[in-house]
Amino acid sequence: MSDVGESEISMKTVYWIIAAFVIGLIITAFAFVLASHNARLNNMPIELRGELIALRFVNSPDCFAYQEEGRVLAGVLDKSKFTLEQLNRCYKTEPETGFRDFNFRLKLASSDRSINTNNYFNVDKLTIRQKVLVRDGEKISSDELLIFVQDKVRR
Amino acid sequence: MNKKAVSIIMMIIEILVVITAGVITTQIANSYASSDIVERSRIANDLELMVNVLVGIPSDAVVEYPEDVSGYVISLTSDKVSVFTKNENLITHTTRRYNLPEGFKAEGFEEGTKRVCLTKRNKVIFLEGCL
Repeated sequence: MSDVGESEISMKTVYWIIAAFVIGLIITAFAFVLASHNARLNNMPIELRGELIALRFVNSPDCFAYQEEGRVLAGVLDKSKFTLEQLNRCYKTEPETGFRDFNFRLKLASSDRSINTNNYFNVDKLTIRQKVLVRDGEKISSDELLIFVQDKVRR
Repeated sequence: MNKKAVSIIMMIIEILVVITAGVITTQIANSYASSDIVERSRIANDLELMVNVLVGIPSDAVVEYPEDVSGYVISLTSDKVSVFTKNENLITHTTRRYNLPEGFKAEGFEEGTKRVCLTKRNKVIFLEGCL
C-alpha cells in the first residue's frame, strides 16, 4: 500500500474515533433530554403530595385526631396525642433512606413546642396551615396547625 | 490492497456506523417517548396518592381508579405500589413508596384487571378488582 493510502486510513481512523465519541455524547444527551421530558410530564406539585400525606395528621385517630366512644372527630386534635411518640407511630420514614421522602415538622400556632418526623432536617419547602380544634381534656379551643414540609434532602 | 478498495471498505463501514447510530437513537427515542412509561408512572403516582388519602380518612372507604389498567400488573404492599407489564424484569418496574402509620397494612395484586379499587377496611388497604 502506498504512503498516501496509509495516511488516508490513519486520518479516517482518527476521524472515526472522534466521530464515535461525539455520536456517543449526542445519544447520551438525547436520552437525558427525553428522560427529563418524561419526568416533567409526570411531575406532581409538592403542595399536592404534601397536603395529601398531611391529611392523616388531623383526620386519623392513629395520628392526632380526637376519638370518643369509637367516633372519630376529624379536624379535632387530641392534645394528649400531640407527642413525638405518636408522630412516629403515625408517620415514620426509613432510618437510612427516609431523607429522600417527605418529612414534617408540626407545630400548633398557640404553642412554642414542635415535633419532627425522624428524618426532618429543617429544610422546609413549604408550610401548610390548617385550622383545627384542639381538645385538651374537657377544654376545646380553636387553633392552627402549622405543617412544615421537607422533601428530598440531598446528602 | 489498492487505494480504491480501501476507500470502498471505509465507505461501507461509515454507512454501517451511521445506520447503527440512527437505529440506536431511534430506539431510545421510541422507548422514552412511548406513552407506556408515562402512563404507568401516572398510574403509580395516582395509586400512591390514593393510599395516602385513604390513610387520612377516619372511616372505611372504597375508591375506584377511574381508568382502564388492564394492560398492567399492579402490586400493592405495605411500603410500595409497583406497576409493570407481564414478564417484565424487576428492575424496570415503576414503583412509588409511601409510609403507612403503625398497624396499617396494604396488600393486593391485580393482573389484567380492567377496573381496580382501593378499599380501606379498618387498618388494611386492599387492591382488588371493582365489583
